[in-house]
Amino acid sequence: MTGKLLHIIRREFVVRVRKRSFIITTLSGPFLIALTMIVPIWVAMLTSGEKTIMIVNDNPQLDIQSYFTDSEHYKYIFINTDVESAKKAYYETQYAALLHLPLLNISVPQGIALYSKGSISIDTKMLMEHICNKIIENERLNRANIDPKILDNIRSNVKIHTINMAGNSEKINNTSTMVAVSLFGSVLIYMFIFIYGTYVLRGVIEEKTSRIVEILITSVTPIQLMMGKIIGICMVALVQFTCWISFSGIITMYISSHYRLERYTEENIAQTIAQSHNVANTLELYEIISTIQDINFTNYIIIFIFYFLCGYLLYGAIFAAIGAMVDSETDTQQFIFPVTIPLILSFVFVSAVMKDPGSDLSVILSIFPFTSPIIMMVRYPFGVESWQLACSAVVIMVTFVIFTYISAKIYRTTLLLYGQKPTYRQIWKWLWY
Amino acid sequence: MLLKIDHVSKEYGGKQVLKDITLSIEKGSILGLLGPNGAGKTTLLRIITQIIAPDKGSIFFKDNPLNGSYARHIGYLPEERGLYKKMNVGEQLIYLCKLKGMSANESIAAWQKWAERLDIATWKNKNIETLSKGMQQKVQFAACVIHNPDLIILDEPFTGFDPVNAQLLKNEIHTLRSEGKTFILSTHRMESVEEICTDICMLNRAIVIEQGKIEKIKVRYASGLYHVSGKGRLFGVEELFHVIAQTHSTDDRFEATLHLLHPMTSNEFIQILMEQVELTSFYPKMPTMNDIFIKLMMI
Repeated sequence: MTGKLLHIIRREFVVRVRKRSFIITTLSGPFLIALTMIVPIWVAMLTSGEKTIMIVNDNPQLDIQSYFTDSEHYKYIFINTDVESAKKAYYETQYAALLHLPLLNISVPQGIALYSKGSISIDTKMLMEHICNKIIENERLNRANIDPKILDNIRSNVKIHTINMAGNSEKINNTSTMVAVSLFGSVLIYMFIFIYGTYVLRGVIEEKTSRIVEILITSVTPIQLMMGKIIGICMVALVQFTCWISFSGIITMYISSHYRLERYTEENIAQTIAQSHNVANTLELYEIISTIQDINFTNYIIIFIFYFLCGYLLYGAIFAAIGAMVDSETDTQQFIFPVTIPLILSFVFVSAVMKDPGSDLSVILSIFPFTSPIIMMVRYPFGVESWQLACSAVVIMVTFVIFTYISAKIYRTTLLLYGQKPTYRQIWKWLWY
Repeated sequence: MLLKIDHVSKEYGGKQVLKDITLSIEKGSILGLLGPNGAGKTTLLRIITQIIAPDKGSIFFKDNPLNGSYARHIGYLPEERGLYKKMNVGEQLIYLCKLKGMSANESIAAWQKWAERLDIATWKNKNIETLSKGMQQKVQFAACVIHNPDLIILDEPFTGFDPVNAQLLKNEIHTLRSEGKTFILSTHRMESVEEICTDICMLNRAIVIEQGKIEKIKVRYASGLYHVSGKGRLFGVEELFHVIAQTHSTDDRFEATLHLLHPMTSNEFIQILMEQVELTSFYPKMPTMNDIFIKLMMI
């Protein structure tokens, strides 16, 4: 019995890991993730060449030149002509844009225009708006006899450092970093459950439509066949995940040594701050590094694997039953959608859970078995009490056993059913066969 | 007795598919399972292969109740052929052997034996989807017999075969029978039944309407027609027999079809005929399986 199950698991595993698509995604996964972060920066760098802006000011009473100071990316040229002549002159140049400040009513400033020969970047438009707003605000302050420097001194820019006192030690946390880690974990577990659950669904449909299932179940029981498929595909997922973690580790080690991230350890931080010209930025970076270092990634990976396994086995069994009920993949939609609603809802609640990871809603969602794989991944970096973790784990395991039993019943009953679309009423009947 | 089906019944959603089926299959026989579409043939085969369980009744294999441990002793070629399309022939057949409980070495040896026997060794690394329908059928047959089963169940085995491969399959059936294998063959091709089968079981509307040795069934359904030939001229005798057709040659020879009207043994009938003519041949005209099938279905 066990031997036959092992043969099925082995086939499901070998057939999939041999596929070119598996090898490519496994090897390229960590690089693709890295690319999603690098490409936007690279694109930003590509488009951030030096831009020259021509400026025509019809308000001689406004001293605007001090606001438009040349920088690494922007150069400004002031033209003392009317706007129409400036436009003609602009056409002859390669400048990025022409900014026209018409005669302004400072109370109701209107008519400021930015001319360009093509589409203008959003960054440039926002920068020009920011500078124009600053000019008008300062002019209004002057007219009200308020020194803008006094206002600048009054303005405050407080940054609160969050310190986690869990475990009788104080650790500086960077909430943004924890949000990023939470999101990454939850998206990854969602992807894994959904992608590999779909593999199960397709595998069952393939065996059913190719009719080999009729030969297979003369040798093994339908339950062995279903479990063999689910476990085999699960092994594929674990291998892929292990490869990704290993490759990511190698990449991280390379980046760490290349950029000397050891500078940001606690021992070195005082020295770094002392040498730094920008203490605030250094502290922020220290917080990020410290938060990442303080997240127990070993535990996080163990929790990830546990919730992936339970979530995948739970959804995989349901997907297998759906696959057995239909003749083609197109017929699965009416059954797949209701099943995936909890997964989709999990993401709807992710922002609420992040805002308050310890709220009643967050706790309930992290215990409810159909949402717990995703929600627990969101909550875990913020800290989860042990009893909640244990309760969630027990509930999802019990649910998995119950749903595997139910799915197996449907699978066994419907595997040789061809040419009819089952109704929910029929499915209910099959549960009692 | 290799297989005994004892009062088996099966119902689907209130519809009786098999009703009190009792049937015995001797070792080394080839049983033709016949019946119109929807008679319950495939359901009966699925019960024997343990794909589904009967609602009532039992099945005995070699005098023991049939259970999962006998899976290795049964080979099944379903009507709707099925193999993994994207898996190569060698791996597929070895995998199916292992699922039947054979070890890796036994499976490889079985593949080598059947690859040579069916001349499919060169297809080892070819995916099923790249093979023609006929080639796929051959692989399918190999999948059915590769684990050396005692009972081989073939559901419409000749569908999709060209005449050459159909003959090859018939030869294999005869060879396997001579090796002691037992067959259940479900088909609509009556000429194949006549050519291959030793026994038949005819199902209609969920019940067995006829079963037994083919020769005995034919005698039972014999219509009283005889073919005779000889020298002289035959005349019908009132209330004994009619001459339905008679042909003559120039040297006074004849061939005739007679219809016996009065029950009597062949010897008695020959005696009567010898009073009129000099006989050179005499044999009863047996109904074909097709005749019997149509006759029974019309009842």
